[in-house]
Amino acid sequence: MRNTSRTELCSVWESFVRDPSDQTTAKKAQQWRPRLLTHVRDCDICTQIKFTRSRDTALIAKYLGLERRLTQEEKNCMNEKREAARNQEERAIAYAQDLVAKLGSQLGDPMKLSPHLTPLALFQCIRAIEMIVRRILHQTRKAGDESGTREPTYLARNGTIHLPDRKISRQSLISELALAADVPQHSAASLLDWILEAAYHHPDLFHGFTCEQEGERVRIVSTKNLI
Amino acid sequence: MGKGDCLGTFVHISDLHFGVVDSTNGDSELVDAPPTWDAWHLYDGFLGHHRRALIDFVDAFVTLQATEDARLIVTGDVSACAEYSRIPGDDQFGTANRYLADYLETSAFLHVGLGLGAAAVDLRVPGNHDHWGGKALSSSLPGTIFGGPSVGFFGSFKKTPFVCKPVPMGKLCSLIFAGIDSDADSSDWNRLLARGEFRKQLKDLEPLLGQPSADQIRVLLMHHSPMYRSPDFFQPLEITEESQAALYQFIKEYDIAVILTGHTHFAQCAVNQISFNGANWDQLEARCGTTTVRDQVPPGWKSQWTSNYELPKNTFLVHRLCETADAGRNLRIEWHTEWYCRSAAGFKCVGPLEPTGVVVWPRPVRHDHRRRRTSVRKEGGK
Repeated sequence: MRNTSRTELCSVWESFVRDPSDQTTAKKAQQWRPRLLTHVRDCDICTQIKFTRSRDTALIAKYLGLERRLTQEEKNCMNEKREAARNQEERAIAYAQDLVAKLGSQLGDPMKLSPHLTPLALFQCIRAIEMIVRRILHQTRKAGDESGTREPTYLARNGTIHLPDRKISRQSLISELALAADVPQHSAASLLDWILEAAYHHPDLFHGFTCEQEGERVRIVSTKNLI
Repeated sequence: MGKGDCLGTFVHISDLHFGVVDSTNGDSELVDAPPTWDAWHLYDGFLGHHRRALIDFVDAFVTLQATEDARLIVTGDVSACAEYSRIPGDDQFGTANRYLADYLETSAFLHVGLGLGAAAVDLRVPGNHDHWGGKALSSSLPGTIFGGPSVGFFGSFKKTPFVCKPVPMGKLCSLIFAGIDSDADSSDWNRLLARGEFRKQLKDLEPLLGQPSADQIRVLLMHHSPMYRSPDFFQPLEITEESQAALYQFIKEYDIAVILTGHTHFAQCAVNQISFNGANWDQLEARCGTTTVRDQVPPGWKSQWTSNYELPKNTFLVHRLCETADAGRNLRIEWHTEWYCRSAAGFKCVGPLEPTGVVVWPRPVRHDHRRRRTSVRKEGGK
C-alpha cells in the first residue's frame, strides 16, 4: 500500500536529502533507520523529492545502503558465460600451440622471442590482422560486390598491408597487435615478423582467408562471402 | 522440427556504455574510483566501454550482416553517463554514433565501426544512463546521475515513442517494431535506483500503433526488463508497479508478441502467457546482456568488499524469424534466439537462449478482431 499523505517521516527524509552532511539531520535519519527506509520506499511524497537540490547524493546512497545482489538466473548466466569463455580460450590456445608445433622447426618458437608472449597472445595477434583486413574490406565494399570477389589485398614482408585504396603501415600494425594482445610494442613487432613468415608457409593462417605467395608479399584472398 | 526458412535476422545489442575515449588504448577513460564505490554496483555501466569488445563485435557483426543481411537493434544505454562535449573523444554520444553509423579512426582505433549510416538509429531506444547529466569524472558519479539529459541525447535517438516501417516476412505478414523510452517519466528517486517509469510513452504509442492486425507481428523495444525481479530491498533496476501494470495492459490490448530489452547486463529469455478477449498467446521477452562494457573491475577499484566482485562477460543476441509448418501443414513463424559470448578469442555463439522457437505468427484470433471483421463486412454490404 503506497503512502500518499505527508507524515513526520516525510519531513525527516526531506531534510536529510537536502543536506545529508548536516550533523543534526544525519543523526535524526540514523535514529529513524530502518523505519525511514521502509517509509521512503513506499511513500509517493518522498520518492518525488528532487535530488538535484541535494548537496551530496553519495551520502544519501550510502545511507540507503544501495546494493545489487544477483538473482539465481543471473548467477546461472554468469556461470554459463564463464564456462563458454573458458572453452573458447582453451580452443584458441590449442590452435596456437598446434601452429607452433607445425611451423616451429622452420620458423622457431615465437614464445621465445619475448617473455611477454604466450600462445593466447599469438592467437590474438593473428586474429587482429585478419580482423583489420575484414574491417577495411567491409568499409570499402562496393555495392553489388557481395560474392567475396575483391581487389587484391597484400601482406608485404616488411609488415605493411596493401588494400585496394589504402596502406596500413608497419607501425600501425604493431600498435594494433600490442593493444590486441596486451603486450609491449617490441614484443608485438617480433610477433608480427613471425606471423609474416608463417603466412608464407601456412595458407590457412587467417580464418576466412587463404594466403598465396607472390614474390616478397602474400596475397590474402577471402574464402567466404564474409565481407 | 528444424528451423525452416529464415525470413529475417536481427542482431540485438545493449548497454554499450561508451565512455570518454582514452587515446592511448581506446578504452573508456577512468580518472579515479568514486569514494563510495562499494555502494555503486548498481551502476557498472559507469565503467564504460572497452576497446576489445568494440573490435570483436564489429568482426562478428560484419559476418552476420554479409551472410544473413542482419539488421541491428540497440536497446539502450549507449553512453556511460551521457557526457556531451565539443571535443570528439570526450563526447560519449558522438563516439557511439560514429561507431554505429560510421567508423572510428584514431590512434587507438584502426577503422573500427559498423558503417550502418542512417540505419544505425532506426531500431535504437535510449536507456537510463543516456538520461544522466554528463560530467565523466568518476569521483562525481552520484552527481552525474541527475540534471540530464544532455544535448547529445536528442541527436542520438529518434523521438520516442516510434513505430518503424513494416518489415515484410515473406508474403505471410509484416514485422512491426515500436520503441519507447522506458526512463522517460522517471523521478530522481527512480533514476537513483535505475527503475523504469514510462506510462505516458505507452499512452502516446497507442495511436501510432493502431489496433492489432492479424498480419502483423508486433515487437516492442525498450531498455528496462519487465521480467526482472530484484532480490534487494529497494528493488533497483525494476520497472515501477504502475508502469509494469500499464505495460501488461498494453501488451494485451495491442497484441505485443515480443519485447526486446537490456539494462541488467545479463542475457535471459522468458515467455509470458497472455489471455485476452478469448485469445491466448505466448509473449516472449528477450533480454540482451551488456555488449561492450568493461568486463573487469579496473585495477585499484577493488576494496575489501569488492575483491570477489565479477563483472558479467560481454554478450549479444541474434534473433531469427523462421518459417515452418505445423503437423497440419499450416504455415507459421517461429522466433529463435541465439546468444554470443565474448572471451579473449572474440565473440562466439554459445547456442540457443531458451525458450526458443516461440510461435509469433499466426496471431491468435481475438474477439475484438472478430467484431471488427463483422463490421467491415456490414459496411461492405451497404
